[in-house]
Amino acid sequence: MPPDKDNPDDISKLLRLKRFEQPGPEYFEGFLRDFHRRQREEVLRPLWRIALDRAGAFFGGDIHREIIGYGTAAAAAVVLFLGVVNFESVESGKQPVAAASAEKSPDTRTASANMLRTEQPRYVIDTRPVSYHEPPFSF
Amino acid sequence: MSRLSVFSGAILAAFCLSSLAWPARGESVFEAISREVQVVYAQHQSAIVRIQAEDEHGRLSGSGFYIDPNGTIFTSYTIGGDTRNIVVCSGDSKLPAERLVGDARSGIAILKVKARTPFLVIGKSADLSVASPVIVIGYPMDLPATPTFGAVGGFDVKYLGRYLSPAYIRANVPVERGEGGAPLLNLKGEAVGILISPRENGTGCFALPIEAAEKVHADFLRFGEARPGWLGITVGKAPRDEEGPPEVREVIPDSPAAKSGLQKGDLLLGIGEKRIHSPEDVLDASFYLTAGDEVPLLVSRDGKETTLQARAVGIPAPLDALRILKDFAAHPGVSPVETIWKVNK
Repeated sequence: MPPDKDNPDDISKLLRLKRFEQPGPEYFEGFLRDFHRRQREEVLRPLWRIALDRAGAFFGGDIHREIIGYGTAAAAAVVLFLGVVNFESVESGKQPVAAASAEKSPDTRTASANMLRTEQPRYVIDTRPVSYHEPPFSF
Repeated sequence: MSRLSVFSGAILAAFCLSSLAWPARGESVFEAISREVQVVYAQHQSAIVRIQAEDEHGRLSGSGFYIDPNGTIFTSYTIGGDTRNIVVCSGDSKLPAERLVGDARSGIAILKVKARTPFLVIGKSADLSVASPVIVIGYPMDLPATPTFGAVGGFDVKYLGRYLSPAYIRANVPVERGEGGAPLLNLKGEAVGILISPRENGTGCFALPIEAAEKVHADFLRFGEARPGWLGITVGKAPRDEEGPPEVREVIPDSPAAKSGLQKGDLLLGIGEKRIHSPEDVLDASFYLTAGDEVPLLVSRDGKETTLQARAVGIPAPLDALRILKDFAAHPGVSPVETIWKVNK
């Protein structure tokens, strides 16, 4: 006879059965993985995104997002213009900065290449054995 | 043959046998231990491998070991259970491996390579006792296969307030990252455990008993997957003897335990081949239940021991609690909160 959904006793039995059923450890491990991933994504937001959000909060809300966007684009254009002007003036008479840097520290590029070649994997060992039981013990 | 000659021969034989247990002439006890470890390492190091794989965080590296000549490998779940692009490294060879089964419940994974391989003989962790000498051979960090010697400290079902299933071997063997999945060996070179985790500061370790890994392996060979069993029993300390066998607190209706005749109030003395002396022993014994297999339950009822036969089933899937609560909400007069409180208090 199927359980009667209007009968509290049948519902109680169903809930009592539920007490002894719990997700396996993979459920909780998966939950922790997702939680940490989202935490990292929140913490490691791109710098431009953080700056935009803070600027928006400073100026008081979404209404000003477009204004901030246009202003940022204008500032970036100015910086780019100044950079191009500076580069052209450097090229006309002075020694390139990049080449000078390379001569002064010839080992920098070699050191970077060495770092890439020796990138190590994560050497793993679990922090603790699998454990998830709490008394009273059900099996 | 006279009694004197028989007696003299027995004394001589006993002396010769006992002398074998002592270090060779001029050799200290420590040199003898070193020699034993070197023998085990030299004979069995080729069966222990470095395993590299990838997960969502990047590349990782651990240890494992062959258990048969057909390339079957035991390792930890972290390395082989939920990873991809698994490669088994031994000496100069690198072989791709496929995952046969990953069991998060026990913390191990079983892999396979397509090659003829050396292998470790499976021993018995049940033959270990406190202070039994053991060896771990694994690949710490980016170092080659390294032996580490120590002794068994105990067999634990509880650590830092959390309960373990099954009981783990606690060994006073210092281990490092990269050695997860390495074998725990006795002095015969037999695998008696799988290294899972370190203890405080890496000065000791916890190893899964090899019998637990064999149980998962046997389930795979029979069913293609790990198949833990469930009986539908809740146990706790017996009110009259809290240090003794546990008392059955509840038997789920229509569960295998209920069908076997188990009753609330029975004292649980044994599950299968395992004797139960305390409620924590249940955690160890219940790990070895297999869905579909019949298991004897030794109980004490009204002072008399009796054996009941129960056929374990698979662990039930969680019910949709939200659906139940929605059903409750649709019926005025039946408060879901009150019902849940009544059931769970």
